[in-house]
Amino acid sequence: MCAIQINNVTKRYRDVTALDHVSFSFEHGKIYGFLGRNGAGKSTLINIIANRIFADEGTVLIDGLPAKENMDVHEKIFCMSEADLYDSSLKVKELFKWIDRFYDSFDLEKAFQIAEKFHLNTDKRFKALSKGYQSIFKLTAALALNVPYVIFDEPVLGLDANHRELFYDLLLKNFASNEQTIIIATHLIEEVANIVEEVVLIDKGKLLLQESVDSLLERGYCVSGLAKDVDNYCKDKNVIGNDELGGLKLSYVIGEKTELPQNTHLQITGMNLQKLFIKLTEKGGEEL
Amino acid sequence: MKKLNTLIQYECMTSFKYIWMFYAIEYAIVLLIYIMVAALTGDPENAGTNLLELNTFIYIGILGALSYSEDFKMMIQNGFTRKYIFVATLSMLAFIGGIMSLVDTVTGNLLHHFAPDYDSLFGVIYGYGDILPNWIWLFLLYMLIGSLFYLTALAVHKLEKTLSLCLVVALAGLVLLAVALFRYVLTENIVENIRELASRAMGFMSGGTINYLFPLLTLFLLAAVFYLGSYAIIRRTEVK
Amino acid sequence: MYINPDTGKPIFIQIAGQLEDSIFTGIFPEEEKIPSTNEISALLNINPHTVLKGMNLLVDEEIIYKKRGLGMFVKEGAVEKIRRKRQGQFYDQYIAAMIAEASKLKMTKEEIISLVERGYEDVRNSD
Repeated sequence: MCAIQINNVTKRYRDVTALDHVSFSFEHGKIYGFLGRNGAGKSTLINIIANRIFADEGTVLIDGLPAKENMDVHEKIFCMSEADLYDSSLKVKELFKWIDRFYDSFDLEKAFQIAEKFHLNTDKRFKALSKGYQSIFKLTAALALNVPYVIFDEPVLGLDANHRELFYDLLLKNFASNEQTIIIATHLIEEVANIVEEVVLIDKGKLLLQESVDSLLERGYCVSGLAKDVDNYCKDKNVIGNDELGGLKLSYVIGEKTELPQNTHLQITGMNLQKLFIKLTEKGGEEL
Repeated sequence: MKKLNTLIQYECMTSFKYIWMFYAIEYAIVLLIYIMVAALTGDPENAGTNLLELNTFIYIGILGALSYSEDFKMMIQNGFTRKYIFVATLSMLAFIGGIMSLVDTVTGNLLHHFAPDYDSLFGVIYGYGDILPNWIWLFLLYMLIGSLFYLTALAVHKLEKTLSLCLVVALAGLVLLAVALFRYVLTENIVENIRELASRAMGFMSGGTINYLFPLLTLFLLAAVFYLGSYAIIRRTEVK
Repeated sequence: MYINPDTGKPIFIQIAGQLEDSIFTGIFPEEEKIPSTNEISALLNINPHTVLKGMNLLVDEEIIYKKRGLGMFVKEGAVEKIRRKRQGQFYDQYIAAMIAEASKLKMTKEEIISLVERGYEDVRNSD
C-alpha cells in the first residue's frame, strides 16, 4: 500500500465547496503533474495532505497511515509550498541546519551543493532574498530531503529560464537515484509535459481525470476540416472543445480514432498536454 | 522523542538570543534615566525607575503572541504536529520565563539592596528577602502573561476579525456587568467575602501573615487554564 | 536528439525513433554501449520511465539488448535490421502518402513517374 490515498475528501469554506468528495491515489515511484486552474482546489488538497488544514470529511492516508496530526508520517512526506512559512529572520544556512536536525533524511551537504549551483547566498536572511531566490531556497530544501513523497507547489515561481532548467534537471537526477514519488502542482504545463508520467486534473473541486501522459496524448487528437464533415465525423465521439475559423472547424476529441471518411479533406493532428488541459477545463465539470 | 527535543531546542534557541538584547537596552535606558535625573536634581539617592518587571511583561507578551504567528508556520512547514508544536512553545515560554524571572529577581533584590528607593514588583506586594518564592512567583506570573497573549493570538486567528471584535465587546460587557454587580446588586457581606477570598488567593492571611503557597497556586491554576484553552484551539488551527 | 512535444506523437515513440536513427547512421555503432536512461532523461528533461519505455521498444525489436549491470548495447546486425524494417515501411510511409497527395492535386500516374525520374536525374547531376 505504497501510496498517498485520498479518500472522499471534502472541504468547505463558508459558501464555497473547495473540494467535493475527491478520491484518488498518488502511487509510489512516479512523477505526477497535479493540474487545475486557479481556485480548482489544488492548494486546498495539498494543504490537507500536508496537515496544514483539515478536511471536513474524508481521510488522507500515506502508506496506510493517517496524514492528519501524525508524527509517524514525518519522515515520509515533505511539501514545498507556495506560501512562505519559514522563519524569515533566520539565515539560509541556519534554516538548512535546523531542517537537517528536524529530518533524519535531510542531506545537509547536498543542500549546500544545490544552493551553490543556483548561486543562492546562504549567509542572507530569508526575508532579504528576492522572490525568485525565496523559491530557490524552498525547492533546494525539498530537493535535499530524501523522503518518499515530495510535493512541489508552484516550484518555479519567479525563476528565470536557466534556473527552471536546472531545477528540472536536479529533480530528474533525484528521481533516478532515489525511490521517490514527486508531485508537481504547476501552471506551466508545457514545461513539465515530458517530465511527468501521470496527470491528475481537478476542476471546480472535483477530480476530472487521472491518466498517464502517454495514453492521454494517444487518445487526445484534433480533427479539422469543413464544419459539416467535422461534425459528421465527431457524431458519437467525446468532443471536449471546438474552434472555428470561417468555414474551417477544429474539434478536440478524446477517445478512439475511427477511419477518416472518403472524399472529405479531414485532417487529424495530435494535441499537446497544454491544449488538452485548456479544452478540458474550459468545458469543465463533466466526468470522462 | 528525539524530534520533540530538537523542536524544543529550536524554539528556545531562536527566542533566547533576543533576551540579551532586551536586557542591554533596558539597563541602558535605566542608566540614562538615572544619569539624567541625577544631573537635573543633583540628588543621586532619589533617582531611578521602579518595577522593571513591567518591561519583561511586554517582552514575554510579544513572545507569546509571536510564538503563534511566526513559529507555528515554520514548525508546520517542517511537518510537525500541533501537539508537538504546543509542547515546544510551552517549553520555550517556560525556559525564557524561568531565565528572565531569575534575572529580574536577582537584579530587583540587588537594586533594592544598594538603592533602597528602588522597588521590585514582588517587593512592593510582599516585601524583600525571600528569593525563592520571589523567583517562583515571578516565573508563574510570566508564564501567565505568556499564556494570555498566546491564547489571545490563537483566538484572534481562529475567530477572524469580526468575531474577535465580538469577543472583545463581550469581554468588556462582562467586566462592566461585574462592576455593576459589585456596586448595586451584591450585598456588602458578599463583597466583603469576595475581597477576603481575593486577598487569600494573593497570600494575605487573616492573621496578617503571608502564605506564599496561595498566590503560587492561584497563578499556576490561571496559567494552566489559559494553556489548556490554547491547546484546545491550536489542535483545530489551520494555516492560512 | 530532439523531442518535439507538439506533434502529438507519444514521447517514448519519438525516443525510440531518435535512438534508432542514431544507430542507423552509425552514431552508436554495433556492440557498443548507448547512453543510459538517466543520461538521456537528464539531457532531454524527460521522465526516465518514458525513456525506458522507448528503449524497450528497441529491445523488443532486437535492435538493442541489455547487458546486466552494464547498460544497453547495440546488437550485432542492428543496422541491417533497421534497414530491412525501413524498406518494409517505405511503401506505406512514402509511396502511399505520395499517391494520396498526388490524387488530391489531380496528377496522373505518368506525371508522377516522370517526376520520380527527374528526381533521380537531379541527384546524379549534383554528385
